[in-house]
Amino acid sequence: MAQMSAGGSDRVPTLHKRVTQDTIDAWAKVSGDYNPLHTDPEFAATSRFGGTIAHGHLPLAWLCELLVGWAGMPWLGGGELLEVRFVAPVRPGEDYKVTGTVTTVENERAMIDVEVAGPAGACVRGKATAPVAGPSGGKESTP
Amino acid sequence: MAERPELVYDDLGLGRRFPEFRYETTPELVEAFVAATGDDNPAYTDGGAARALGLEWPVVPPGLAGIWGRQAYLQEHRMPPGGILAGQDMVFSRPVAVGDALRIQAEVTRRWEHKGRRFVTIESTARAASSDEVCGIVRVTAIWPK
Repeated sequence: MAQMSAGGSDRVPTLHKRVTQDTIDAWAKVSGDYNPLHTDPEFAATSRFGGTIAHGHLPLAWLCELLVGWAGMPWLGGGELLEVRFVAPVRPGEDYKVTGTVTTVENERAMIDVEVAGPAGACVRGKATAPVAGPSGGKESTP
Repeated sequence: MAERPELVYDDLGLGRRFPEFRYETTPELVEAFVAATGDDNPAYTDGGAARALGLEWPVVPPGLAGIWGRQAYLQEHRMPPGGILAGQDMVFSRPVAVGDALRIQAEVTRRWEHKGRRFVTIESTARAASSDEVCGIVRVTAIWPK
């Protein structure tokens, strides 16, 4: 579990991801979502995106990876990813940064702004919460 | 095999509950997830590493929630082309052991129109088949194309 002082502010270690068509095809396989917008470059070239784009849930999985990497396994039993907005597509052939910034810590829970950004800027933005250990290491203090 | 019908806005009445969806979490599924995401946290695949982290067993990556949350309402349908994922929430309350199944109940919790666009929110609640405890909730908001 991440350990922080209440009221502290901290940057969550950044993840770096490169997306290829193979990445997108692998997500199609695991999700069963073979929408041609994701998997058929010829079809997708005629769409408003001008080419294939990744499934929206792929960058969501990166955000989960980011948060488990920072908060540890307790995130699986008390983590939240909230108000996630998809503001631009994630495209093959591009590099992405997955970032988080802790904004507040109260009652042993951190509030974190999270983002996935590519060469053209933010693609996904949202908020997260994570259980964190306070200065006492997560134990209740005794009188 | 006949193609599944499209799930259209008129099908998505407020409060509609979809049939319970059973999602099997197998080691093969987790390996496919790791291959797709590059998330190679050994807690998902290695029993020894999981125990070192205080877990009894390898656990299911939370990023799979996006998949089960979607499949729960598309069991008998397919998305019409042109849908846009507008927003999403995920809330996790309990780790899931790899090999356990999830029982997922999806329900339409909100629908509205704004500036000619039709929005729908579907909430999917997952329970561990082995314990009936809630493991996670996924809320998907999408602009429905037709």
